[in-house]
Amino acid sequence: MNQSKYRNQFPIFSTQDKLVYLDSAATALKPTSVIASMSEYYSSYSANIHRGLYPIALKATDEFDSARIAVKNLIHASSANEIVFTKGATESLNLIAHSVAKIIPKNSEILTTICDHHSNFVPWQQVAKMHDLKFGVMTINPLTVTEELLLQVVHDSVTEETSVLALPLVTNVFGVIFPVKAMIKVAREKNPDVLVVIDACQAVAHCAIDVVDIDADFLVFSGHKMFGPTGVGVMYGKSEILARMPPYQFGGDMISEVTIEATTFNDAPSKFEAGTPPIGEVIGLKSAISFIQEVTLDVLKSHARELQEYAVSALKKSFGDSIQLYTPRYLQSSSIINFNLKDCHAHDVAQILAENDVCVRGGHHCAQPLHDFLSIPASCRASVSIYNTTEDIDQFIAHLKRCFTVLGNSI
Amino acid sequence: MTIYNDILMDHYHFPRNRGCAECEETGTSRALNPSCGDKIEVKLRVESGTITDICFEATGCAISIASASMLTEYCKGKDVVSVLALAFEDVVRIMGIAITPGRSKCALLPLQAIHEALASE
Repeated sequence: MNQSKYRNQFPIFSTQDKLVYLDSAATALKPTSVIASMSEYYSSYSANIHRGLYPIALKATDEFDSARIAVKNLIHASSANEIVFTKGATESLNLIAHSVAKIIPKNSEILTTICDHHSNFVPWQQVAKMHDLKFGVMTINPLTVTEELLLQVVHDSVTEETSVLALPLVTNVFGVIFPVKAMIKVAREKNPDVLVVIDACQAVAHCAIDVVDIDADFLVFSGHKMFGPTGVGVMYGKSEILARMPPYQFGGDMISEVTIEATTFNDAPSKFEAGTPPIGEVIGLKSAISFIQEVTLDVLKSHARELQEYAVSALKKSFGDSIQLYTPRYLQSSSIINFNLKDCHAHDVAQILAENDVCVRGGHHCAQPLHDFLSIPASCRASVSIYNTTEDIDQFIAHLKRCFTVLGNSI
Repeated sequence: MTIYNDILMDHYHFPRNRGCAECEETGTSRALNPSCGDKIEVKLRVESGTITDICFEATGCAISIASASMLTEYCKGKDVVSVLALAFEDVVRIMGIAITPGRSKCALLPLQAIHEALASE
């Protein structure tokens, strides 16, 4: 390992030849094919969809609609009508939260976890306040929990009152893979009516996802974390639930009939896609899915796993007791290496690495409740993807040693 | 080009005015940056419109500790009006480093605490 044969498909490395990009958990780099597909749309058939009768409008509509089928196939949904395009996972989750809040029983409970990204936490917290719903948080330590204990927590937390259960598939701070299929099964045994919402943002570029197999009611992700463009995301929802949900936004393209007095709405997915969607971005997302299928999820996963293991082992060897590595003891993790150097603030470490073109994150990674729960003020997160190599990890560690020299022995 | 120059690191490793055991303060405040857990407590003494003593206790990154050290050093002996007028640009000038947007909160936390300590009088 591990000179990635796919690295040359990412043009950023030809303009930034010293770049050591270890922040794919924030956003993945874009392959030439994705950029070219969007450029082609904007330069040769940049028309609106579903309206025009002229050739470029028909081509744009075809490309857009085929992207929905590509997403359906990627996550093994039953129908392309279960795929709603949004501007990102955050909008997907807001859509679900605001719409579902209107169809769940009054005084019922929305349950999430302390491990969730703010985007799968704050919308639920706020919607609960708006609609007089209860908001419960399962305090799970992802670094020490066993699968058995995790399932027990779900069993003990889900009650007849629970109407929504929001879970991460892969946690964004530590990259811990949650056994969501088993968790959903346990939740349904306690309450068959619970609506389960899965945040798959950190999973979609590494893990095979089958929404029917895991029996999720909703699953969301963003295009930009899976080699696609920013500004596009996906909300998957089961057909029968989407049919019961009211629209989230109103406008063109989502209506069936409008009179001065009233409006009737289209069926899903159109009902949830008011206005002109991000057409170029959806086309880019389709191309990103093609890239993932060309590389294969098996290769994406194993490449990330091997680099992660290489990094963890090299960090232990280089820093010994001077590094705190936040790796899960029992559950598996994927593509993320989270750590703090002894006596070095995460922001200083990230800054010194940044000064040397090594891109990592320092902070709470949009998971403040988790950092508070674990009493970690901030942490450093390095994350790997298909374009990274062992040389990237070696560079990263060489510059980390410099951080230690500059910052160490203080506080 | 690193912002972690010798002067900054000297203030980080050996902060001036850290420790408040002997301060007979007339104003005090605490400030927190929830995004990284940095905390600072500032105590200061004002006599006839002049800051005659100032000290702090803090945990935080090198930028915030060095900023606290340099700013408290700068403020000692200054009149309250001029210290209340200090803004981000002044902190950049006093610290002598380029502060990127992502670190401005770190550099400004001590100034926020100083301003709040003056307001608490």
